[in-house]
Amino acid sequence: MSTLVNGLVPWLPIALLGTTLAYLADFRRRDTRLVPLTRVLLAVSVALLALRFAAFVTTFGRPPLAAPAEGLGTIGFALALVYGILEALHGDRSAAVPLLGAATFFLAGAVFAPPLQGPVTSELLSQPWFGFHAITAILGYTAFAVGAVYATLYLGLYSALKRRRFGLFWDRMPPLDVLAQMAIRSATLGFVFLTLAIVAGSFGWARVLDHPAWEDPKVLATTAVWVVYAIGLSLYYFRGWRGIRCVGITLVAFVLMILSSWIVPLLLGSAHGVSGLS
Amino acid sequence: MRLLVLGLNHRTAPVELRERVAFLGDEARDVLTTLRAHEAFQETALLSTCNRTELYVATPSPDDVVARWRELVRARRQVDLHDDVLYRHESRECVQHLMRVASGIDSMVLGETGILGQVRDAHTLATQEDTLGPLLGRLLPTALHAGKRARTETTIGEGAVSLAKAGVTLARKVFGDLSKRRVLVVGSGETGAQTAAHLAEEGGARITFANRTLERAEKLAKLHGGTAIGLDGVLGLLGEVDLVVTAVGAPDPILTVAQTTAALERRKKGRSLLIVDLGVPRNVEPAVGEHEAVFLYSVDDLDQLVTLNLEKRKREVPKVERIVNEETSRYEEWLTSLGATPVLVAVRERVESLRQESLEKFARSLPDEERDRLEKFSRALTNKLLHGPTTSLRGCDPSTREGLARLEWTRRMFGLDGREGDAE
Repeated sequence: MSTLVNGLVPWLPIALLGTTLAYLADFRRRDTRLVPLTRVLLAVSVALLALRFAAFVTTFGRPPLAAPAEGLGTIGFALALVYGILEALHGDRSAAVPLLGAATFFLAGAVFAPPLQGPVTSELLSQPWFGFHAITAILGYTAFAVGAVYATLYLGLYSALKRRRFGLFWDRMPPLDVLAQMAIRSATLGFVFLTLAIVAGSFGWARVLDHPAWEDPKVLATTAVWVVYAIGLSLYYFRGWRGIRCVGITLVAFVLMILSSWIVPLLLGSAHGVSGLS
Repeated sequence: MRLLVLGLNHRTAPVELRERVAFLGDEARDVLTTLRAHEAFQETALLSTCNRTELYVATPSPDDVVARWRELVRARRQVDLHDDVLYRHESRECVQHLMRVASGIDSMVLGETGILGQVRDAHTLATQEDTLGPLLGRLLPTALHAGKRARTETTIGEGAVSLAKAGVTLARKVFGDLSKRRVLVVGSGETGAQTAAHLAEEGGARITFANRTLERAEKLAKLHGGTAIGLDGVLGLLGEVDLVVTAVGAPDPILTVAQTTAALERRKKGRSLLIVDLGVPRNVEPAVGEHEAVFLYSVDDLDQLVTLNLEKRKREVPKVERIVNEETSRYEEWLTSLGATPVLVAVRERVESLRQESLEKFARSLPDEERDRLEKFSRALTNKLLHGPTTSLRGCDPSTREGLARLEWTRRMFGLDGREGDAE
């Protein structure tokens, strides 16, 4: 089984690169014959990624998060999976190239990043609550990232419409309202996952650490992100805010998320140093 | 027999002449009936639109056809069709011409889709009047097939190429599905009516028509299933609608910044409002478009979009020409296969293959001796069965309508044409 786990690693970015190039060709040529090809390639790539993930968990009894190489591979998998789910549910393909391109980048990074040196020292990784916390957090952050891509595309199309630039980008993009909805739906999905991750993290925190969670800078920053997303989504769902205002809030929240995930722990330290992601 | 097309179109004749030579509805039916009486018109189809009148004929004597067509037009329309106006294509050029027409690359508005329906109408009319034979009976469906391929395999028909349609395209780019959107059309002139017609094609959009004269607005509302109001009700609706189309002949703007700001305050924060201003002079103050949620387009903006779309369509022409050439070659291959000898050979090959197939199925398990006897029996039976059809086909003259029809019927009866199902 471990041969399968390790043997698949270099092939995953290659498979996803092929898929991304097929989507790029479809974006440029808008040839209807390319659509089934892209879907088959995406299905095969996601299936390979899922197979590798399942084989890893079965073999090692923990999620692949113990080293930078493992963390990058998991992010790549989550990106491709979230995009695949969104395309299957809503049929929108406009964000395929940036999202699958990013997933390819992370998977390629997993090939070249330092692998795990020696045995896993943290027992946390093999505990179920931690596995749930880590995976829901990754899925949440990934959905936020997908939402940010849609929000960026929204801003691009908004600008093209305002400035009357009727070029290739304008032509290939779905309607402005669809991009806004996709941004909000992705953010909502991310919000649900982040909430679950926070609940699971709170549950486990008291078991393994002796100081309160609110003293941890990353926890505070993540809570701030959660609050900003909560405000933005409330304005959309309960106050009827639409368009560029809503999309703008999701983008601001995404920037805060980046800060809370990487910059804050780097500058201020955090108890979140147990995984390959931190 | 030769295929021939005689016609005039937007390139060879001015609109005044095209109008006079157009034969529409019952008159087209009458023209076909009249021409059928002459021996030169073995098969006939008439394609008559606002931009072209073309007569397609299968004839043994093309010059007679030209003379009689000129005579008929002179008698009915008091118009002489001179050589500089009337074009004439024969054989392959005729086939190719109809394919190009059906594909939309010979149209005044490149890639327009209406022509495909008009070719279909010409086919239906000729079928009803029984003026088609094997040649045109095959050519028209093949041209329709080529036209469909051009529109599905290329983007020759994509992108708005009229101002009204461009306005609807922009609305779809902002809102996507327009079926649940509220639309306000201000002005009930020709432009307003055209836009409303395009919006109605999208289906489901709730349209309100506003006009100085309420009766005209009511007329359009009745036609497209909306409601009507006077111009004084426009500002009241601005807070509720998603799309506003203005096409009013007024010297001053009918929507100013001051008026729209108050109306926009009543809307959900950030909810998009698309305003398509088709008026000249403009009906909406340009500064209205500076609001974050307002997308404002004037005639010049739409014209820019139309020009871009036409350029895109032009780039598709070589791909369409390839389809035209492929379908023309396929039609010619079929035409060549209609000679008596090719049909005879094809029939014999088909029957022989069926005989071999059946023999293989039933005689596989038999002893060699019985198998030989069954082989001889089946050969003798097929030879006897084919004797009559062979003699009959040898007497077919493919240069006559009857001979061609008999050969085509034989091909269909023996299932010799694999592409039968492709054409309509």
